[in-house]
Amino acid sequence: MKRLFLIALVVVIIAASWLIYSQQREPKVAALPEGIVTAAVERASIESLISATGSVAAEHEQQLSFATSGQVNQVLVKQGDHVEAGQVLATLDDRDLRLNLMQAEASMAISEAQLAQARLGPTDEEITRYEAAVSIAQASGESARASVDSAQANVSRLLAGASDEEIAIAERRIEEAKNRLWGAQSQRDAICGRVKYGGGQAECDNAEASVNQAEESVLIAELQLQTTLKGARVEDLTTARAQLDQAKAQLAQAQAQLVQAEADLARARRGPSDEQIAVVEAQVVQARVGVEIAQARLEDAVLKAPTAGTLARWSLYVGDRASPGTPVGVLVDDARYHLTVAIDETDIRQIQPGQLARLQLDAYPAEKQLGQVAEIELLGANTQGIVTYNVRIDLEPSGLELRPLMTATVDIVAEEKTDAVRVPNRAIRRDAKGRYVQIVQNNQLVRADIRVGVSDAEYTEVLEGLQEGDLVVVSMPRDDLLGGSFFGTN
Amino acid sequence: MKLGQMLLAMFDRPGQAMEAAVARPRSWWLPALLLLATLAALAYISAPYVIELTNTRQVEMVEQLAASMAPEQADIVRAQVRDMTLGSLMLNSVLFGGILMALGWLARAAIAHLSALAAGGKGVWASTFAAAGVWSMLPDVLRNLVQLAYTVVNQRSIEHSGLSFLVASGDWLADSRNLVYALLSSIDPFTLWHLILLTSAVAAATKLNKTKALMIALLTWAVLAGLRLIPVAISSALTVSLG
Repeated sequence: MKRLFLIALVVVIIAASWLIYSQQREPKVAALPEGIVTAAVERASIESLISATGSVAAEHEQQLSFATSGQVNQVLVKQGDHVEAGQVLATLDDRDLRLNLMQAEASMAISEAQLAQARLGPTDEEITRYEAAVSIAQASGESARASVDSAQANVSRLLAGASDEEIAIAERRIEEAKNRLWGAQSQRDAICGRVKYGGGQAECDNAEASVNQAEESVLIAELQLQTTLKGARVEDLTTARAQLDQAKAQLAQAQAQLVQAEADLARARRGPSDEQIAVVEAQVVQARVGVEIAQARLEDAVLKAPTAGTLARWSLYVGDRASPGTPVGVLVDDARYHLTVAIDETDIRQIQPGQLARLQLDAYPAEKQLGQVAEIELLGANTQGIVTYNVRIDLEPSGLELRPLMTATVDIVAEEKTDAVRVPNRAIRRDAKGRYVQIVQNNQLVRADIRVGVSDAEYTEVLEGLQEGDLVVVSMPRDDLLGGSFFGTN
Repeated sequence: MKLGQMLLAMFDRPGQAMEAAVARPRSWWLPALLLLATLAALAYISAPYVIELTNTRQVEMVEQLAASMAPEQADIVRAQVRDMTLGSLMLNSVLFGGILMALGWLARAAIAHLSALAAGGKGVWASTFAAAGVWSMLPDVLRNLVQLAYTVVNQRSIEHSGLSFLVASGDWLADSRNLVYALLSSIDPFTLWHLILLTSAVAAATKLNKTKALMIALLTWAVLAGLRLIPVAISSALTVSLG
C-alpha cells in the first residue's frame, strides 16, 4: 500500500510540475518604464548633406610683374583701382629697346635685299669681273711658268759648266780690257808728257786714273775667265735649285688661282643654286625673328592688366627699378568667387558636379549663400593617413560683399528624397548584427532590424523594417536600471 | 540490493533504498552520473530557447545602460555585445553547473552529517555523503527529464523555475533582485520528494529516528536555500541603497 502511495506520489509530482510549467506559456509582460521617450515614424523629405569648411577665393588672383627689366617712367594706377583687361598699368623707359628694334629692322632689310639680289643672279659686270680674274690668273700662271723655265735653265747651266762660247767671250773680254788699258796708257803718256812742257797736271791725273781703271778692268776680266773655267759652285747650284723650287711653287699657286677663278666664273655664269637661295632666305627669317623679339621686348616694357579686376595690392612707383618676374602687384578677378573644400574619401563618391551647396559665411551669419559643385579633383591629398579630395564650389551671385579668405561652412546636398520614411537618428541603435530600433508593440519593447538610406543631422531614412506610424524608442529613462524594490516591483 | 534495484526502490521503497545506499557508499556515482547526463541533455535541448532569451535580455540590459551614456559611447558598448553561443551555454551549464552541483552534494552531506552528530546520531561520512548528499538528489534527474520533455513538446524553455512564476513581474531584471522570487524558484513538487529521500537518507546514515531525521532534512534544505538567497539579498540591498 505504501509502495503504491509513493508511486502515485511520484506520478502526481510529475503531473504537477508539468502543470506548473504550462502556466508559463504566456510570459508576463513588464509595463513600459516611465519616462521612456518615443517618436512616430513619419514620411517627410530628407537630404543627405556632406559638410565641410573652406575659404572663399576669387576666380582668379594673379601677381603682376614686368617681363623685362628697366626703370619705371610711368605709373597710371593705384591700389584699389578697378581695371579692365588690357588696360595699361605702368611703363618702363624703352629708348634702348626702340633702338634695338630699329637695328633689328635694318638687319632684316639687309637680308631681304640680299635675298632679292640672290634671286636675280649675277650681273654682266660680275661676269666680266670673274673673267678678268681668270685672265689675271692665266697671266700669273704664264709668268710663273716662265720663271720656272728660267730657273730650270739656270740650274742646267750650272750643272753643265761653262761652254766654249763663254770661255771665248771671257777671253775676248780680257783682250778688250787690255786694249782699253793700252789705250789709256798711251793717252796718259801723251798727256803727262805735255805737263813738263806746260800741260795740265789735272789732265794727267785723270789720265792716270783712267789707266788704273783700265787695269782693274783687265783684272776683272781675267778673274771672270778663271771663274768661267772653274764652273758653278755648290752654293750657286743650291741657290739655283731653291730658286727653281720657289718658281714651281709659284706656278702651282698660280694654277690653283686659275682653277678657282675659272670655277668662280663658271658658278657665276650658272647663277645662284637653290641651296644658296635657301640660305639667304633663312637669313631673312632669322632677321625677321630678331625684329619680332625686339618688338616683344619693347612691348614688355608696358605692363597691362591681363584680365579685368581690382588691384588688391600695388607697390610700384616712378623711378623704381623693375626686374623680370618680381611682383609689383596683385590683380584679383572679383567678378566671381568660389570655394574649395576637402572631402573625405568615404564621402567623395557621393559628390557630383552640379549638386547644390548651401554656405554659411562667418562674416554673414544671418545670410545664406548658395553655390554649386563645379569640379572634383582627381588627385587627392594624404595627410597623416587621412585621404581627402578637393571639391570646388562656385558661388552664385548674392549681393553679399565677398572677400578672399572669408571662411564658410558648406553643406553639399548629396542626395534629396521627398516622402521618405524617416526616424530620429537618436532612435537608431547598432550592434554586431547591424542597425535596429526598439518599437513599442502591445505595450512592450520589440527589436526591429532596419536598413537605412539617406541621413541628415537629425533624421535617417529607413528603407526596410519600419512603417509609417510605428513608435520607436528614442531614449530610455536613466533610473530604470536601478528600479525595483527589495521584494519586487509594483 | 543491486544498483538497478536501488534506483527503482528510490521510488517506492525509499527507506530500504537508502539503507542499501548507506551499505554501499561507493554507489553514489550512479545518481551523480544520471544527474550530469540529464543536466547536459536538458541544456542541449533547451539551448536554442535559452540562447534567444539570454541574448534578448542582454540587449535590454545594454540599452538600459546606454540610456545614460553619450551616443558614441553607447555605440561602442553595443558593438562589444556578443551573443551567447551553444558552446558557451554548454560550458556554463555542464561544467560549471556540474561543479556547483558537486559542491551542493558536499555541502548537503556536511550539514546533514554534522547536524545528525549534534543530534546524537552516529554515522560515517562516506555513507552520509552517498545517501544524503547524492542519492537524495535523484528527484532532480526526473525534474530534468520532465523539463526536457516539456521543452521538446512546447518548443520553448522554462523561464521561471519552481513556483517563482507566481510572483514574476515580467521584468526579469527586477525579478532577479526579488528574494521571494528567488525562494520560490527553489520550491516545486520535486522538492517534496527530495525531502522524503533526504529524511530517509539521514535516518539510514545516522541511525536517528524519523522525527529527528526529518528535522535535520528540513534544516539542511533551509540552510542550502538560504545560501542561494545570499547573492540575491546583496543585489537587492545594493539596489535599494543606490535607488
